[in-house]
Amino acid sequence: MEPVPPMVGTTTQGWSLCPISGATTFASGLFQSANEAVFMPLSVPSTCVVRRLWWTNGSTVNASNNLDIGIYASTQNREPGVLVVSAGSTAQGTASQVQFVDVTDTTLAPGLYWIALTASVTAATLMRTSLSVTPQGLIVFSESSALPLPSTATPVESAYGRIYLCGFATTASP
Amino acid sequence: MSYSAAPSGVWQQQAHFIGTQAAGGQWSSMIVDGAAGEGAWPTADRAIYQPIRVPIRCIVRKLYVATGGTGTGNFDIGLYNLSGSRLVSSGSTAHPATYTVTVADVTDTTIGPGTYWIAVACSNNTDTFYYSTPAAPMATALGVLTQTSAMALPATATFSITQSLAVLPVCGLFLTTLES
Repeated sequence: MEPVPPMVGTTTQGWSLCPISGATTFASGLFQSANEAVFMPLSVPSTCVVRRLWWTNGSTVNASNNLDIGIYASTQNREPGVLVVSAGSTAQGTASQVQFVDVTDTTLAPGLYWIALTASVTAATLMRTSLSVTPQGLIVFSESSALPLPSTATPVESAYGRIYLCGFATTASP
Repeated sequence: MSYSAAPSGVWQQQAHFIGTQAAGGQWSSMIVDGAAGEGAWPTADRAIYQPIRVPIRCIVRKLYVATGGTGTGNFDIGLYNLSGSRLVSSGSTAHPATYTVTVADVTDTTIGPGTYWIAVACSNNTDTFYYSTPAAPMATALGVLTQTSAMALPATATFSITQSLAVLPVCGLFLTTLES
């Protein structure tokens, strides 16, 4: 059985399905499009409990920026489907910090899931990287007008191919 | 079996080194890239805890940390379970002031499968070690925890987050795998 790490995200070895080379590829950058959700694939190999969701703020933040993060189950077509858990619209916090949001403890069974992140404005900077493989839309999906995150995703192939540094924690603290 | 799990067959019951970085890092929960370089320990008496996934039963024989050429103080390297109980450690050890992989022979300790923490602490902020330097707050996003006033490494960790941390020490363990 695959051991469960305390922090699971787009850089977690053995869990992330995002083809990135490592942590240093992430840098602060603008969000791709206001109110657009981006869905990034995650393979959960072991049963685990989601206790917090998190994203990583970039160098410029504003408390008037709102973000939402969530986890979606996958459809049989391997696309984002039903929302499993989300933070709800949340004001952006401190620059260059991991921002945690407590959520209802939620058990994930092994399988394919999608981490979704959305922001109210493009000015919200986040730590992100771009996929180096094509077609990017086969790996990352997006949905417009998706803040707060909808209960069921209506994804389209992403035009951006961006991966954001975000995920969930299996621990309640720190 | 996921790609990060230990291979079966001849891999079993063999000696291996497992670490936090690219070389031997297949059990690390972090995708750490970039070359490690030499630098001073960030804060005196601070412990840095890095997560490592151990997919099978194994016996920890030794612990290691990559030390640099400057050393006047002491370091400690240890292994903790997920809840923060120290399983084994080197104890306070004089920094060798040598560019090398410094190995500490520890009590043979059976662990796994599970998630553990590899901890390193140093008594000052001038002794040098090899570490990678992903920009803050990358270490926090990778699950790295810290503790102040943690030299020598405590029996029970009091974990905290240092969002400004930008140091991932090169360290790990030598082990013998058991039948899974």
